[in-house]
Amino acid sequence: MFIVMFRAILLYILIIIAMRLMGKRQLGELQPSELVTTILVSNIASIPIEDPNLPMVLSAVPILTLVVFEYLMSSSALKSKRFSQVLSGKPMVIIDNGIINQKTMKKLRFTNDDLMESLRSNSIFDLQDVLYAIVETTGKVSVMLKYDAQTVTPKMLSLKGSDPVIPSIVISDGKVIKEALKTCNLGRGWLNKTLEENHYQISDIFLMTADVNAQYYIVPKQKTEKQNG
Amino acid sequence: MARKIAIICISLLVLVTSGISVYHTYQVRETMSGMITEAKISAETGEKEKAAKLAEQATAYWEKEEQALIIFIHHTEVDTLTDVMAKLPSLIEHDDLSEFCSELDQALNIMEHIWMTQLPVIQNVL
Repeated sequence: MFIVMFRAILLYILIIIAMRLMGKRQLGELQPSELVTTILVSNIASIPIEDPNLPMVLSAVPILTLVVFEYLMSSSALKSKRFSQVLSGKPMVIIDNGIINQKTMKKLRFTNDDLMESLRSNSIFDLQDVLYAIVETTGKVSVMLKYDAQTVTPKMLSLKGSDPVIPSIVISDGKVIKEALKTCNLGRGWLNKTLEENHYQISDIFLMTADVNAQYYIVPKQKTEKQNG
Repeated sequence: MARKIAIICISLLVLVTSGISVYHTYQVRETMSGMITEAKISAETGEKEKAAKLAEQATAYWEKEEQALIIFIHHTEVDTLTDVMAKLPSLIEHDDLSEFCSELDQALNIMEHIWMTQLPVIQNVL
């Protein structure tokens, strides 16, 4: 029993390292080669956990080999466009200038329902609003709307303004995050002064965000009522 | 760059581990085959004491090497050979020479099979 437990822990660590080495990708956005590697790694890892008669090395070596191979494949794909197309395919246009490319849809075995589902997932419910729809190599559909169906932007209205800034979490659950303060070019002095003005202690704060313009937002901790009896 | 170095290190680790496993299996197979064959010849020529001594040496050697082999060889295969080796002392003790020789043959076959399954040849890969 302990063997299985230790093996599960070791393989978990190994797979985390393997996945980190392969790079950041969301599971839904995996390229075909990455998907194959992920499926193989998960299958190979489960074998020695289920069968204690099998040495763990027989699982670790293929996992590491797949990581190396995946790295080599993605590096080669980065250098050669042709190789990249062989490995991952290329994006396919299924709606071209407002016209559905039925031939491409047939080639991709993409049904009308699939098309409508993809559009709906992009918050588009009317097919006539679509100018271009492209099936990416990950299987995701990217859509460009016709001009009259696009959301109005400040640019369209010739409105001027400044770019927004990203707020960072400077206090999380009563703990000051020094790196975030530094990123916002704010100091501990500013933080203490702000909290004092709002009649709070650091330990009272559940969440506090701030940005480079010293704009902040405070969420105090909810006080739990003690029950009597 | 760090990722590249990690990948190179992992490649080397995989290659070295695979190489060591093949080399170690080869060494064990060579030593075991030598001892077992010699024990069998001694048993067939009636040198019972020499055969017993060689069988004992082979068993002791196997018990030592078994610990290393289970790191990269399927345990069932290793266990089969351990079972065969464990029978040898009692067989020679009870003068069951034909059974003794038969078990030695089996040990040789198992050892050869373990070695063959470790070889990176096309038959094994497919």
